[in-house]
Amino acid sequence: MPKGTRSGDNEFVQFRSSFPRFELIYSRHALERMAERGIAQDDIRHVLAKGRVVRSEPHIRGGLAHTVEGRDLDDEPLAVVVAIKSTTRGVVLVVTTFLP
Amino acid sequence: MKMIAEYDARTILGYPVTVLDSAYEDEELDAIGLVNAAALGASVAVTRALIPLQLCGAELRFLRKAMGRTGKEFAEAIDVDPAVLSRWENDKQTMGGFAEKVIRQYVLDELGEAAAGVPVPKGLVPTMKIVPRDAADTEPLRLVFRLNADTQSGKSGVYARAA
Repeated sequence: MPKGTRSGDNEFVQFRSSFPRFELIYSRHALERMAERGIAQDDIRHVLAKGRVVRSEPHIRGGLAHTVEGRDLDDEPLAVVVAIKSTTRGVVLVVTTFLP
Repeated sequence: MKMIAEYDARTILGYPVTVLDSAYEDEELDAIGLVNAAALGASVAVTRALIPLQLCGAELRFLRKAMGRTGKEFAEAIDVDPAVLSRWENDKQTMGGFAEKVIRQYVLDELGEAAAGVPVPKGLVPTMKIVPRDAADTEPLRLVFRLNADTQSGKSGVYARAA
């Protein structure tokens, strides 16, 4: 069971099953971290599609923020924090990325 | 949501691409997105595979990632040692012309359909003359793309290369 909160623990797992081609939008903070580390959308998609949700906690802008850990397309460990922003259009906000 | 007339999507795509009228700002979330970003990535990859200028390491890495392949998976698919692929991607070894053509054709086969706005002439890659580049030139070729809003042609929502 991932650390974090309540019933939202599997919200992202359910979401990615329903929207395998989800759209990503990026916070300015996430874009800064991506530029620093040379991480691009395909690495993020790979982690979000195959990684493990290790934490779900309230997001500052409402809803839950999910931390997904996995490996990027260079086989390096990567954690991505996301918040689901539309369950009708399948949109995910990338809040930040970091080395787990 | 506010559309951005011109946006450098290098950070998002991992490749130097200027997008016209295709990026948007979500002011409420203070966030940036690209319309149909997966199609844009495929269109950029297919377009680069069709330009005969020799691929540099960063371009090869971008093509691999656009196909969603790890280094190991990609090396296995094209039947090369992963260490060789790594040297190609890091500009430590030059790819031969034949290997480059195999990779370009692989990109077209895998991503051609997703890159609906980029015409792919049949039989181009096998007869392509790869244009050599200076060994010190390791900067990917910048491309400019625009989202096609032409609903008459039935190709709205796809990306086309802009001048």
